[in-house]
Amino acid sequence: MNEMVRPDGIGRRSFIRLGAVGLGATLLAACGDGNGIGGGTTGGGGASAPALPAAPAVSNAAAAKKYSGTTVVTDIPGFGTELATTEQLAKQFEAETGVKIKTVPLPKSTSDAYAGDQRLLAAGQATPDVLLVDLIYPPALAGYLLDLKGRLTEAEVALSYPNLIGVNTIDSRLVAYPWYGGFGRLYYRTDLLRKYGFSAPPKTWTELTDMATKIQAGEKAANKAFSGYVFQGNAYEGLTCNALEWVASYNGGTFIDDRTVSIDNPNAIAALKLAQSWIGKIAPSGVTTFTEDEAHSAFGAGNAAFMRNWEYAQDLDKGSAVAGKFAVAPLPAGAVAGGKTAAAAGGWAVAVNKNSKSPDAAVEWLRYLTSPGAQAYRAVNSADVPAQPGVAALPEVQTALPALKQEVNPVARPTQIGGKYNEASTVIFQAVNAMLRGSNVESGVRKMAGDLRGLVG
Amino acid sequence: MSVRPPGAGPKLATRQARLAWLLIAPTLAVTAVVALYPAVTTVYRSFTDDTFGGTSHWIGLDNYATLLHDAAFRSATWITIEFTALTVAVEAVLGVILAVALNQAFAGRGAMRALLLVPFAIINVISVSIWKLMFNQSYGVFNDLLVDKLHLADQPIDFFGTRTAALLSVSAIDVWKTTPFVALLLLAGLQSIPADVQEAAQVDGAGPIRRFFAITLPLLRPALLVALVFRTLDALRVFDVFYVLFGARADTTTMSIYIEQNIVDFGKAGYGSAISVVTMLLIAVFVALYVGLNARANK
Amino acid sequence: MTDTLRRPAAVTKPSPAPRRRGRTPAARIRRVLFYLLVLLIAGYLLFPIYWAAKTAVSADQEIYATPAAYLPHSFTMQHFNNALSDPRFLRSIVNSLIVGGSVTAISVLVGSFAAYALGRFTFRGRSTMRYVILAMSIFPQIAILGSLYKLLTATHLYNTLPALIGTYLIFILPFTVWTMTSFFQQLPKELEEAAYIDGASTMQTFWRVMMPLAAPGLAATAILAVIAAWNEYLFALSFESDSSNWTVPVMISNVGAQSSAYTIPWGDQMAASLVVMIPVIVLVLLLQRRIVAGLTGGSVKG
Repeated sequence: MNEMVRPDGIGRRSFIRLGAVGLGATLLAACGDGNGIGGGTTGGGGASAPALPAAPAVSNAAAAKKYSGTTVVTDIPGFGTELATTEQLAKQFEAETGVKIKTVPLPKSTSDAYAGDQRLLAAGQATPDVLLVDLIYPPALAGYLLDLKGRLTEAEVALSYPNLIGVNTIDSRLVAYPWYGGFGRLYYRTDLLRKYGFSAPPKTWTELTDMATKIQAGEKAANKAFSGYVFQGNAYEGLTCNALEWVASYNGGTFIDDRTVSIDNPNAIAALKLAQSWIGKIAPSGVTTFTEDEAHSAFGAGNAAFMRNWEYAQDLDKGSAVAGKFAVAPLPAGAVAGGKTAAAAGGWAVAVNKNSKSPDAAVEWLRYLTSPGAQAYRAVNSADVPAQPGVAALPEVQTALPALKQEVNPVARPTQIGGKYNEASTVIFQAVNAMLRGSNVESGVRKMAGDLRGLVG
Repeated sequence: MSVRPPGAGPKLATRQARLAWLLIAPTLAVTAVVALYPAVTTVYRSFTDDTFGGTSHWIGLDNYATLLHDAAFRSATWITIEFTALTVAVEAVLGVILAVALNQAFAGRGAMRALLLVPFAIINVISVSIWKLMFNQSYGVFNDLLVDKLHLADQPIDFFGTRTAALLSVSAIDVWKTTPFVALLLLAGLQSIPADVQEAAQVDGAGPIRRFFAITLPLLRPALLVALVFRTLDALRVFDVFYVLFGARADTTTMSIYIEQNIVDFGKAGYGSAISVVTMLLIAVFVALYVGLNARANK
Repeated sequence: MTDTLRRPAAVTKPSPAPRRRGRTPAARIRRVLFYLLVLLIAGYLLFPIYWAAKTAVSADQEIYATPAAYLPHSFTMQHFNNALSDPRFLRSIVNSLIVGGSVTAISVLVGSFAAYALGRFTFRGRSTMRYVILAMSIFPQIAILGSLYKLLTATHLYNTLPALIGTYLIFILPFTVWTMTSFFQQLPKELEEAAYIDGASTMQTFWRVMMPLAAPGLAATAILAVIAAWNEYLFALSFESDSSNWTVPVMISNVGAQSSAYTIPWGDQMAASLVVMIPVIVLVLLLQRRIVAGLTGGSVKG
């Protein structure tokens, strides 16, 4: 009579089974990994990517062979053609020198990569031996990076753009060596300029505003989504670059010149006021949420007359609604005395972990990775702008990246203030974003200057 | 609500208590191992001036004093609370509606239940990105519908322009993503309601609406409480949705984003830890509120 | 009075449509409205997914084309090809399954024990324990990231999958315990009394009576736990450096063989996301049957 019939559903045995599965899977996971030797070396390519040509020969092979057999752990880009070209370089280096390269792919987001670097360096980790750092990070990471001055020859150092070397030199230590660069450029629709009777791209921002207004007025009737000018207005580092270009081109300084906060001057205010006037007129109000990708998309779909972006945007020529209909020019200057074109300098550098157990081998790898040959290879095969003027002048590089034929006047972001740069940049882009969305420019600049002074001390 | 086996007495009570502790022990062990160390170190660090690349010194309550005057933190707290209130309220209502609807018998119910989880199952970053595309002022499908197809507006709307618009848009996305979570918990709760109770009410002639409020809802309360507590916890810690859409924009920085900014971008681990501690205390207050409300309703 | 273990109908048979009354116009209108509601719900849930699917089979440029394209103009399977031919992709799905499955299994097992105690026993410290366990999930993930990183490197678990399994427990275990506790609390005490009368021990009652009845709660908890683990990005990114240990969210953010740092390969990402949804949907379909299955079995006599 006392039947305790087990109902359907989870009985004890199946439950224990479930738990065992859980435990078993955990153990499996524990044993199964940690053998990521050569971690990401097979990634990225995919059946659709064309086969890459072989990487150039290793010019410092003789020196590097001394360390044959050591393993160097290095960051590499985590996706796209950059991953492919860097892996090719790694393979070539391994083959010619016997130094084993173990790769660690970086996350796509720069700030995620920086957060990772912060964690591992603060914990005193010895690997990765070689780090890839965005140009704005060496000041913050300086204390954890090896001084390359004693390791690279003066000739090697002199090969790079001096401005990039300057940005990577903290307290007279060269903590990172420039790897590839990028400068802000003006993209414009050649067909539309012709259509509305303009013979050349604008030389000043005022000219750009007038041209954009006229073109937009004409095009908007047929295309409601058309705007005159698109750029990066979201509250992030990209806006600091755009704002720097406006302010510097108006001869308004670079927010913080050396250690002096210089932003509160009439020229800078004029520049920012002009930018504010664009929103809702020649730039869509949504531009305050645009990053490079949105601007690239808007221009690429044929919905903008002008765009500010980095060199990579030339890929629109390879298949978009505007292929063959646009060209690149230097960014306009401010229509004031002393105004001249200014391009924010971006890019990445290669550094060596101070705690590395094999610094010599690491430096050899760094040497090859940043060699003129490697930079030319990456310029042609993964559209990375070289950080050396000599490489930028090579004919095959200029064919691959036509924007390089133009002169630039590079302006560096105020990273000289050291570890506080991120905070300073946040002050700048949050303030400018608010101005773009309508808040008062004079008081905004005053507050910005005050906050920056508080940081710089 | 606990049961004493027959012949219960004080000795049995202690045996029960011992068994109870034994059953809880593994969970507490896990808590101690994975949660205690981070909790303790975070609290400790909040009393120091630990910065990345610098040294760390004990500074007592200085970080907290600074926090009191930190306008950015106040703004972060407000937007987080507003977001939480808005989304949890909407999700509760929609979740109940969904659960009740999916509890009925109809053709395709199993498929609908699986469908229910699709928004919740798709990777966070991806779903937020899709919505970002759809909300886009220039080429988004919503503006296309509103302006070009349905002619409900003559200019494309900037869904992210002002703080209010941004908050509403973010909330719409979050509601879409997590109502299924609430609905699923409530559905499971509905399935546990004894049918004889429902039938008795039906026999009494109570209409569906009255039946719902008088019987279903009260019995749903435990499941609803759990769902709301966890949704509130998650909403107060929100990061992804806001960050993917707005990055480090000042008026949409939530508490978690502000913590991230301070610890990672600014390298101020000490100050960031203080913000974390205050955030955690705030969250704890909300949980206590729920519990209090629930206890009161139980009486 | 029968001694059989009578399980009250703890089943809510889904409310059947009233038979005779179904023919009246009012009821028919109600039914139509109901189906309309269902359709609306389906549309609301699915439209963004449709958009993702459309993006996955169109060329990337179509996304920014104006006016918006509601149907793909250029049908292409290239994005799926790109996503699937990346060897890291399938590996990341396996990783996510391992991590998600393990965390769920462990937390459901361990959590049910605790939930049984917290839900059915009275003892001193019960409420406190409930809140101590909940306290684990008040930490913003970003706040404990640094400390966990240090813990993992010290225990040499950094860059392993168990690192994720362990750290995910921080937010999944409290959820499991609380959900299961509420389901256990709801069960009527007559069942346990009957079981004790029949001579069952506490643990026997747990396995044979409480667990099966709590099956809907268990299944719901398991589904939500797996999805939470599946979706998690921050820990997965921070605690794994080898791409062979990447889980799905990290993999998807790095997908795209041709993309640059500034371009988002929408088509590839959407294709990858749709593919990874398949294991989750399959899992859900399997588990959700349990929600009803656990209830309709069993002996109800007397």
